[in-house]
Amino acid sequence: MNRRLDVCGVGVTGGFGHGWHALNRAVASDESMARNVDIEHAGRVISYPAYLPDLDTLASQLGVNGLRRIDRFSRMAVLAGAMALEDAKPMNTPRERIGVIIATGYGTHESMFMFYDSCHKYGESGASPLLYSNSGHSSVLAHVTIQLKLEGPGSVICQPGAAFTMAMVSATHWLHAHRVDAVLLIALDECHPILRSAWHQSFGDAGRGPISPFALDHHSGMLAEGAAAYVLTRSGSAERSRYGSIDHSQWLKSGAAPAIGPGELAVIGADGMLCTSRHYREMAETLACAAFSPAFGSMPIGMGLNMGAALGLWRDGASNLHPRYWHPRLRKSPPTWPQVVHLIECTGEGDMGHVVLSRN
Amino acid sequence: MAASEAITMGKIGKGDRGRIRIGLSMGTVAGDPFDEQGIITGQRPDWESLNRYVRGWPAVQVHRALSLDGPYQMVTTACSSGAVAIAQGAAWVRDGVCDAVLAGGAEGLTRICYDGFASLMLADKQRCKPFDRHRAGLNLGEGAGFLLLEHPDSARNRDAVILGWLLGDGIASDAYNLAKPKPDGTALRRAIFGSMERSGVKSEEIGFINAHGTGTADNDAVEARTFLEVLPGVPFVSTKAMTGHTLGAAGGIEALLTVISLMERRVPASMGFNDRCPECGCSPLSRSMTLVKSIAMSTSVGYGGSNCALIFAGASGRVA
Repeated sequence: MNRRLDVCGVGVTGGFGHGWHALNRAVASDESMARNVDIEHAGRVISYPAYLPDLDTLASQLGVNGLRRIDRFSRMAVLAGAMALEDAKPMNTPRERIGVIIATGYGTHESMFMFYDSCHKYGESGASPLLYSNSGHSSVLAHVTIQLKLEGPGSVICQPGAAFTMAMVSATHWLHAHRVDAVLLIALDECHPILRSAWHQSFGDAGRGPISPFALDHHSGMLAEGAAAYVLTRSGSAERSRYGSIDHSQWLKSGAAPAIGPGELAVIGADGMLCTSRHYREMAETLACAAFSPAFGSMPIGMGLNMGAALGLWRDGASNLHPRYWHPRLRKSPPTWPQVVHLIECTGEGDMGHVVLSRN
Repeated sequence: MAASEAITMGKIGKGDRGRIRIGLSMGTVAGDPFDEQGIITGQRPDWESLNRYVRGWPAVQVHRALSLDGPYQMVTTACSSGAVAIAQGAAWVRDGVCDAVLAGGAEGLTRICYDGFASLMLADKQRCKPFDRHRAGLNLGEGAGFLLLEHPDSARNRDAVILGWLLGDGIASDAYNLAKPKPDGTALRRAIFGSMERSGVKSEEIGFINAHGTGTADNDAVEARTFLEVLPGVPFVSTKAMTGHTLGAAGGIEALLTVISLMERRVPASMGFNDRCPECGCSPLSRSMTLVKSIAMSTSVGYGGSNCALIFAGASGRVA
């Protein structure tokens, strides 16, 4: 049974800039797009490089207003979603036939911790109701549906491993069960000061990068936040596919191996994080592999941005991928960018998310 | 504990575990991810609290504790989380992603949630009174409710005792307001119609509705008016005066109570209800009722405008 999905619109944002063109420029280069952020810890301010998007510039580019009172996480989701919907125009799908699925590793933090702070400071009588309304991991869904006027089914999948794959599994079901005619899938993660503090306490100087995704035995991860949004439709529907298709999405138990054919490529989620990188070792040794994390940083939903880079290379002719994104053994004579790409993300437990892309 | 009990009750033994791939679709609002006393922005967070926060995602913990072979996901759509998790888990079984799924929700009552609802002035200091004229808010609760949903072929192959059938679901978004349901109930209506269409069920076949019925002014008014409009005359009940509002677990617990009512052919009275509310336009069951029909609906409405309706049949009722 054909359960393909077409990608009709893309909206990506991160330390590399905004839009698939910017992500394409990043994967053509070996420049770091990170900038310094401050981490407050034990009375000291410590500087760390991090990949962070400039949301104010993006909002003004898109002409999206009314986001001033929305927390950073939701703003990032709304802007990425708006970019993808704009990219998918003209769309004829009515808004109640567009579903929304949010995938995130850690969910919203800014408003959640601000609310916690207000509880600690003022108690129940003084805690902020506005902050509480914004504090749940579900508030992003409310903001996206309200701001983008989408009335179809909605869901938020929030977990550190394989959130993007499970969102894709649900999108496939909704579309092929004809519950909706399009799905706006938004994958994003936020880099809040609390997480930065956890980062500093966990990794110290090793948390400054640069990311070496194929050095699988030591930490080289870097702080990051970003979002990737996709407008997905049933393959062959009335909406126009301009990037490629999703042939299949699946979750695999630890120990299972994804079926990858000759001439196909694995884009792995290795991003310098030691907790997951060991699970990529075998496939990195045996498969033709690339990893784009040095372009956008270390995030649980990195697979979402890996997909943006892979699709952008098809759209752009794939002539200019910088060798550093290939596995070291392929760098001297890299293969041509293939017609089928396997996105793979490993969880800390060694389970795997697997999404298969093919060029239209 | 609840998920483990569902596996035990489903009589999936060790011998079955290699043959039946079980997934986990779990709804929660906050879960119990960390000790919120230990993390304050701008202060040095306690490392143990941070570590628990980063690693403490409930679905991961439950999946690991039960050594499940299928996929897992944690769904967070506010108070509809448990119901949406059931809907999405059922889709996995229908699509062959796994043979069975533990689907439902769990929620721990934290000080943060308590302070949050207190700040919104949505908590009743007395026992809550869903759909009552004098309702004054909700009572928070904690708990967990999971269903073991299994493909009919898989269940029959192992002679499982089938307690009921999930016939279909509908999900829709208000796209209206962060803190209030859409007054005209259009999204709830679409969720209800969607669940009926996918189940192939007509309104006259539905024996009762287990409503979200929180006891808050806005929710109950919108829900009751929607029932009156799209399912006139169908009895409805809120069970939240018995369980408290368990937020992300509510959809799971209420789905379970709906199935139990179908099994026992008895619907409980809507506790806390005394006086008819003119704004609602209709009233829940004030006395328990013998159930003649074999199909029932459970509705869930999430803060921020997430609506979900699930339709169940009793074991002897229509087969999915």
